[in-house]
Amino acid sequence: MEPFLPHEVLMRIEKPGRYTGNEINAVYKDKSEVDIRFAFAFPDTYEVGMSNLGVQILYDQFNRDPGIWCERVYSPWFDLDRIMREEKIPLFAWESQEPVKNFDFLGFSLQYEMCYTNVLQILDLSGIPLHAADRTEDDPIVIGGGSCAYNPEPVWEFFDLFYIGEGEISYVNLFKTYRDCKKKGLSRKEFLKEAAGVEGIYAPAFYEASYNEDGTLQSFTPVSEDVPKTVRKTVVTDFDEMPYPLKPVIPYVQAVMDRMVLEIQRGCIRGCRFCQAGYIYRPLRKRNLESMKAMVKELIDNTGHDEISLNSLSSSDYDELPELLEFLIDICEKKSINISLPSLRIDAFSIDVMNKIQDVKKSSLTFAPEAGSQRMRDIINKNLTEEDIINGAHEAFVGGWNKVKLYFMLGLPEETDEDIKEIAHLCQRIAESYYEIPKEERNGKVSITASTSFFVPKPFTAFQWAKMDKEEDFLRKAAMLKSEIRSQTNQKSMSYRYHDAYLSLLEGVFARGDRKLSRLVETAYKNGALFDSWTDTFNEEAWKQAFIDCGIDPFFYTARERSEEELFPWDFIDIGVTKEFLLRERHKAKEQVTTPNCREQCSGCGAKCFGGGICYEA
Amino acid sequence: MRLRIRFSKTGPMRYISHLDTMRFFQKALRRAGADVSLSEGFSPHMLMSFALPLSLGMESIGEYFDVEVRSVRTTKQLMDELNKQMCPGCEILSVRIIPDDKASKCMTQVAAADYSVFVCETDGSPWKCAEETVKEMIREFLSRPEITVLKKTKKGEKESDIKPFIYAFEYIEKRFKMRIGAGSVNHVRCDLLMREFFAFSGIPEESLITNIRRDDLLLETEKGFAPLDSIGEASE
Repeated sequence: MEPFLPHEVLMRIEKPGRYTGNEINAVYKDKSEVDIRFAFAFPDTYEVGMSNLGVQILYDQFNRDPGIWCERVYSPWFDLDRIMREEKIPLFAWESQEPVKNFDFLGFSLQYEMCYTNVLQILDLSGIPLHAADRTEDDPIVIGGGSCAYNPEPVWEFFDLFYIGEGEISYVNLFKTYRDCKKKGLSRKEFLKEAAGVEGIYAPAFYEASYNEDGTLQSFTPVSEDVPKTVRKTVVTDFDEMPYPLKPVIPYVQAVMDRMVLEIQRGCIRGCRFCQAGYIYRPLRKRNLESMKAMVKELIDNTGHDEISLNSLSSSDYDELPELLEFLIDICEKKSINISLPSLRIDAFSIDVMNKIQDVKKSSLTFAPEAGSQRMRDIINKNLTEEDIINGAHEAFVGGWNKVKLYFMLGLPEETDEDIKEIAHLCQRIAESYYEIPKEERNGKVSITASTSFFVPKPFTAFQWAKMDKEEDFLRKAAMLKSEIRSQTNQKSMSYRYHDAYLSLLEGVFARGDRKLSRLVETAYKNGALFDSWTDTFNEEAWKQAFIDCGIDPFFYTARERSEEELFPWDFIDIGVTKEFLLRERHKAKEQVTTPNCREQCSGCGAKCFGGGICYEA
Repeated sequence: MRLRIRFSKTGPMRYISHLDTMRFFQKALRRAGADVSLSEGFSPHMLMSFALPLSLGMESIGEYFDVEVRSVRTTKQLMDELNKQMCPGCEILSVRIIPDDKASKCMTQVAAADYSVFVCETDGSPWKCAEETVKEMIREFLSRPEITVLKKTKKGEKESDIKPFIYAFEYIEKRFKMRIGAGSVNHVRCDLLMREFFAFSGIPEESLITNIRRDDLLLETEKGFAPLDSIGEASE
């Protein structure tokens, strides 16, 4: 397909190969032979979007239907964005290189809150009205899915529909409804109403929100009786029945993750109380070992990648991990393929595995204790003891590693200054465990990097009621930790990094935001905010001005402890895990009582209702 | 064993950078099941070298890279397998087994390049009216004792005479065809040559160029220039 952008435009922009499509394994169809054209957008750069497994899964699944042509769309970088606006060039889809405006659907993968202004950019450049209410029969149906769709309210005005849950399940039903409605000659609005009844689909226009005087939600109800009151997420219960993208699209321009991805399981048994993914993707479901072996062989043949990565929230919890790794190590050695193992707990087993897969090149090892003190780790239900950490690090040091990275959060509920200082002390004890090794067996100096992010309470977690720290609290805590680290005996071996506090505040606002925030996103976008997740392009002023312009107080959303009776904007979504369970977890957190993981004992969270996964394992 | 592979890079592929093209071929070789040799050391990689990087945005029907392999069934079979792994705009044009000594590396061998520069027919452009006029311009241009262009060097810009390395420069059927020096020694940039020609002939509009295509890369023999894939052998 010849590029949609003229040659002279392509020659004026950075990395033009991002916009010309034509990739290996991209799907091409005859547009006259399909009845649904779906533009699947990832509202970030091509390099980031191409690394997303979810898009590849749905792209593959949609295109298996001969009547659907699913294509991809990404955010044009600033240089192209400017040219497209100046020269009135519409945004196009990557495969057909045709304008997005001509499509039946425009889907968005919403993976992080800071992508919202890019959603508006894509709509804007496509020539599609930003507000769903202003769209006509000529506009595509705009639908959003992904982890941010679990609280879609802050962007409700821009979407016709949201998909709640795992896309593999119900898009089939949505497309069927669309075809039926088209056959019957129904209008856009009539279709949306029908769609509101499809499992997992939320059609925001058919719900009304009213607010109390203090700004909290008073009621949230469907506008008519035939629209469901709650929307339950859809869940894959048997992966073996689901297709997997064994011929993923391979970019020319190097993606952030330039490798094969094997999803070994979905969901997590751990139940860390701050972790949204740990709750919304429940229950844990695993992929069959034997089918994965066949998948790996096909992936290797179809991609030519020289690296494979295992995808899951906690790979160590995959019950047949030793068998899987044995198979992988064997096949990858023959084909000189690297194995990358993120989300692996550091213990004797994983050190042994890593020794096998990366012989001499010993990069750094990563630990995520999340909190420095045992008290704090119990509060967040991070079932990891200091002994586990020190032993893990020691094993690694004996195995020849000398660099460790540690991830922590600041601003967790119930946190005291002592808990924060414990982070520094933990680093010190790790350093000491390195110097216990006889000098001649050590591999030079030890290097310990502690990174802290600022805790952002998320919907559907045990901390969804919690108060989030303000910027000044965060900065005070970060400064205190820094000085505590500097006063450790082995401080020269330690370095400390922390995240941007204002960005965390914004994330906090949107995570638990309501419908009032759509206007804020639009204002910030019009003030020039774009690519907000990119540190060097983040436009803090545009956002600060937007809060003023809209008269919105960010602290209403972040720095407020919510009452247990409060109605939340996301309460109409049913993730299986009940609000009662989350409340129980909140109380146990306050009492510093931990909850066993799903494999040890069922705690009755509610996810059993989906009829599959770990809840039914013997 | 060293293979020399000739390929084309046209259409949408011209926007893929040199580095990305290398990565593309590494993956394609793996998919095609080529028995490539890997370097020793901590991070083994394919032993692959490209003859001459192609500027982003230029097309080519004569690109080359050499790659070390442990074995090959037949070059024909590998060419067919590789072609199954190509995409619109990239085609494998030849695969040959070449000597694996240092002097035979494509980067070392490349001595000249053929280009076609396509120009558009806007009203009043000199070549629209008469081919003969343009040919006359070329004659005048080449009759100068020296043709100097500004070359960027590490120390800034430097005037350099490229005339000895313009082996051919003609105008046929709405395109300029040229053979000019290439490689590490007598390299001439096609775009700089065109700019100089336009300037000398008093033609202001450089953007009359619609496309530049590299037609081949050549090595030097006693009998003159020959394509890089004229050496070695192919097997059926």
